[in-house]
Amino acid sequence: MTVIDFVAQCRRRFLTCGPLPDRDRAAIVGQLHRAYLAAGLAWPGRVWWVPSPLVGDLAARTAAATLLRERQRRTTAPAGRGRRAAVAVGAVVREVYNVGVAVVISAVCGAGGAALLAVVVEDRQRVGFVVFCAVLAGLLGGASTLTRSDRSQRADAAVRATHDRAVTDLDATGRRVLAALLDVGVPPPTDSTVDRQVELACGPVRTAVDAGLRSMATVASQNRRRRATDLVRRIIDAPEPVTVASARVTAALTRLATGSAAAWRWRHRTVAVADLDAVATLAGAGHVWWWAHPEFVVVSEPPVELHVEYAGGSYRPHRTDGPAVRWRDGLRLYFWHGTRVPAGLIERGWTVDEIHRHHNSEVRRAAIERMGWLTYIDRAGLRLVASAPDPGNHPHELRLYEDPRRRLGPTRVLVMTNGSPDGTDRPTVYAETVPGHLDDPVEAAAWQYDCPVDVYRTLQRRT
Amino acid sequence: MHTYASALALSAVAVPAHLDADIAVPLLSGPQAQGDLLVVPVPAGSLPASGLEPVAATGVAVVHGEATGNTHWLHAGFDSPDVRWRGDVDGVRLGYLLVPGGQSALLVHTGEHGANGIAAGTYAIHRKREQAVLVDHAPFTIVAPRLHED
Repeated sequence: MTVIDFVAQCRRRFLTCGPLPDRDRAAIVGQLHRAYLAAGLAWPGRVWWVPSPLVGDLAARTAAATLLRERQRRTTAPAGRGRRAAVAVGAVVREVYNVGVAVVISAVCGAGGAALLAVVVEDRQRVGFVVFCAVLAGLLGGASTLTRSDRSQRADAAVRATHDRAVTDLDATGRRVLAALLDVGVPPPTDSTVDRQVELACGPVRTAVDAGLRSMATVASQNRRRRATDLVRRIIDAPEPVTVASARVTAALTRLATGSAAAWRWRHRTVAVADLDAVATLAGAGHVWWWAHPEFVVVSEPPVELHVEYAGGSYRPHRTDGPAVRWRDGLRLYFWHGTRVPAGLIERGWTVDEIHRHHNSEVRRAAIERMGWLTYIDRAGLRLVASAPDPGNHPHELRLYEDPRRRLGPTRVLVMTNGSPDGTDRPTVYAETVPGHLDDPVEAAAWQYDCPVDVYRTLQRRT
Repeated sequence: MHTYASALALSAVAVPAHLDADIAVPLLSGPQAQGDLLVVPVPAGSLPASGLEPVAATGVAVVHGEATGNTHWLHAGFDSPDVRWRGDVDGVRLGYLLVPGGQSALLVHTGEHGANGIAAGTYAIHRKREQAVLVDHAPFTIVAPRLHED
């Protein structure tokens, strides 16, 4: 098999979806195992498969944060009851002090304000009035301090700090394992040309889908939250992993066997038939998301549906009549020629107002393409600037439009008619964008071909 | 002279319904367009000095449309052994074409565009470009209700 055929095979594998067979699952886990060892980490032994990367992300972060808090609690617990009591009393004293200070300050302010008012009003009962205001202000001040408790703020900050640290640790472990996996200190090896070709062909899909997942702000589904919580509980309750000592020895031996010279030789050997399966699995594993942590590994299943188009030498996600990527648990991502777009745009389409209200300019452009420029011209109320006979294309005309509200910037739209009737039911009239400084439709058409307009005017025939 | 049937047969394409298979393909030496491609005459001096290769019997795929799956093929016409082409991509330009005196070339499309006949001369083949448009964000405005005049 030549490299080209092999790359094509990897591409096909990458793009086929459906439930992962057990053999592939075992192979992926095996690779991660070897990567951990190569990265100098003990294999945690706990691998949890989740139905989508969003669950995986939530679960991995929550698990990492929970484990960190557990560890912190375990290391600070031995303080003993006396110490804990002292800490608690200290907290109460601090609380009372804060409230007390607030009450006193509020009372003084209240009294001062009331005194001023009493002077102005010249009230006989001014002393009683001042005392009443002082008491009221003091009560209000004390109450607001209690509710805006210093203690709950500190607790919030502590949780956030733990979470941030856990996420940092998780990212760091992931990077280490990924480096080990790519470093090819761990088989299966890949010829770097093959690697590059597969990456070129399939990389953009992975990047696009990754970006789409990252931009999903919250996990809305109750099911996913529940699954994430179950996962965390199982991780905490599971038995201890492999003892560290033996793992270190294994790691040392692996490093010895795959030292830099050996790795180089390994990397540059030709792809033998026996390796093809292994490499194909690696390509397959490329569309599996995983989170590595010293104490667990979370692996997400690949999508059950993946729709792509081939453009400019690589694949990109695209689908006009539904989600381009879909996972088993219902997570869906919609793409238009590689741009991630909201579900509503694909499922039902947008009005012109909806298009221009969206905050992302690439999505706005995709939305116009989906609507069709001709329809957009009509619905957005674009104005006809000029029309002229299309050279060499009698009896058809060229028409030039612009947006009176200048929502397209320095751009105008040229409407043309195809020189040959189309066999399918697609319209033969189409529109393309041209620079806004051109006033003559024929000049705009000539610009499209980068042809001098006087030459273009002499066009003899258009098919 | 080629008919549509014989010209399209060079790329194994069936004649589209709107064309008469037995009509001769007109040979032209001025500018002509085939879909997104433009064959534009250029001065002989602007052709590159070297790199112009004879067009093989199987033709040259000038451009392949990935979205449509259609290709524009360049072929030499009848008794035209010296038609030369050089792929030279620069901006919209795809390459240069040399058709010696008394010979002809054909640009054949696998889709609906049929065939264009190219008479003797020196040409460049250009494709199309589009203006990148930054679609503006128009914030939502509340339009005051119009008063109807009774």
